[in-house]
Amino acid sequence: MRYFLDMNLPIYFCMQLGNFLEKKAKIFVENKKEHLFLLCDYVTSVNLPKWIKRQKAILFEFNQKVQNIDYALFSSEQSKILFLQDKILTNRLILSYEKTKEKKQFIENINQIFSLLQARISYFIKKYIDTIVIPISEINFELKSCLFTWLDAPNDSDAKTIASAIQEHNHNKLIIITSDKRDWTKELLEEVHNNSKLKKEYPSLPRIEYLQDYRVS
Amino acid sequence: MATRKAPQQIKKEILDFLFEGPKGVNEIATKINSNWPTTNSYLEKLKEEGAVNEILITDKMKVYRRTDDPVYYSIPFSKDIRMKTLYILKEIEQKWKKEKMTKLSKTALQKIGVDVIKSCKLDLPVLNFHYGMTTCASFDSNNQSILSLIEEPEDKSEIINCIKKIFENKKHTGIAHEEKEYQYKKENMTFYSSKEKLTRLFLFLNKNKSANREVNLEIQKALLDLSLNFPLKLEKFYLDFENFTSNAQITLLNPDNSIQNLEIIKRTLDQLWDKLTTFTLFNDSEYFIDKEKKQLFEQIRELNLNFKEMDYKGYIEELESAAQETNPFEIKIPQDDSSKDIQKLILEGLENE
Repeated sequence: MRYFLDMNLPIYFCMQLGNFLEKKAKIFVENKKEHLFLLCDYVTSVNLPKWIKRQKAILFEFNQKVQNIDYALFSSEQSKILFLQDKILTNRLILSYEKTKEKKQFIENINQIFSLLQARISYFIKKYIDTIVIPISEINFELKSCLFTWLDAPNDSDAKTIASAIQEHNHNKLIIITSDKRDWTKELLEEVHNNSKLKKEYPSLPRIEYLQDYRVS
Repeated sequence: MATRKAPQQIKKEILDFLFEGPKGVNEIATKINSNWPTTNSYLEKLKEEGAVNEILITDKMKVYRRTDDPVYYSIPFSKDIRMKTLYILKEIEQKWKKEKMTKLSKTALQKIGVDVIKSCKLDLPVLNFHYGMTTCASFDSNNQSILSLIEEPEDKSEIINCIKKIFENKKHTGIAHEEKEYQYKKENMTFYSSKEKLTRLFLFLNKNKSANREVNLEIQKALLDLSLNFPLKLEKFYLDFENFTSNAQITLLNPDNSIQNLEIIKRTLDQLWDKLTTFTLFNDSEYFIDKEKKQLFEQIRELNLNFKEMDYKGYIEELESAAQETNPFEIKIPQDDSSKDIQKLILEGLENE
């Protein structure tokens, strides 16, 4: 089987928290066997590096703030790339730090986790990803636009990633695996077939499987 | 009838003029009252003798400097700045020798020089460089040719008084590492203090030639300390810096980390430090550059920063390779409450993507 992975799966796999999705990601990867794992070029070249860069900016803000209480959060150039949810995360990390008694340990942990996470993601791609598919320049603009229009929360990254999956499926059948039950839906994919031109171009649509529901077969 | 100057005299005139800073061939030709081809031929001869070299060559111009130019990177500060800074350094060295009967190390001389400039609020550059704050020039009392060119400034007595006061407060020991520590503490230079701690650990390692868990841990802590003290003014280098620290941390977290890997970390840090502090040196210099020398200054800056960048790339790639030898899944993420909180928050952020 060829599995097309959503970006979140490698990140869950790299954690060591023991939560439900992390465990599922680990089971999924550990049962790779003869299955092939695919990631799209957009995720490996753009979306994951951007996510990692934003995590680095979060760490920068955190380190600056804990070292200097007068530091005005998000006043750095780095922080300009942060989204609202990143700023919320930064603030929550700082709140957590303020609450803890083991401040030194918290600082050591956060720096170690951010370093390890980045290294683990790179390692995961090298070790477990068999093929990087659909060069960014080959993403079908019309297909991407169609998905973007019908996504519940319009999101360019999701549209590009799902378009890559549909295009790759056209060459060689695959299954999409994601944990995003809200946005990555069968109904969304079917919207592609409401466009006659796209339906002709992509007569078959990939099946979506959710990490939450994954069982070892 | 005008007498023809001897070649030796012309060469000396050129060298004396270059003591004021790097100059283009045209500027030198005007100064020695000669034409471009003749001046160029003298410069070529001086270059063969090792007395000058080109600091900049473009399609339109060649800029020369003395090879023994005492100013760092031959930054085109005014003659007044160069002269006064060297005068201060010369006076400090002589006074120290006379009073303490010992020779000052170059680092200690710089630290006292900075103290004199700052305490007396002299309008001279104080630059953040490799070992903390320095003046804009390095002083070598064995270079008679330079020594003979240093003139007494108009505010000589004020400077002498200032040096006297600095000597009286007895804060300076003249020992390089103590002088560095004193300055870092006095000026609250925490980033430099953290780097100094790391340097000492690497020195210890160099002597003992064995990597063990304790040393690894100490270096990890010192690296974290360096990260926490990373100054905002160096922000444009943060991603480079973070790339270095995270790769170094991964290498250090490997229980089988070797002495060779520690040496790679040290070498990469040295290159990174060179790059960062060369940047700050030029940044701090900018304010003191005369308008007509700005373009030359920018060209020298760009050239040097590009060199540093090229040097650094090779080293960071070596460190990345060392880090990639480690399986990061074999390194366990701490399992205490704060670690869980942190991971939980990261995942909540991810779910909101």
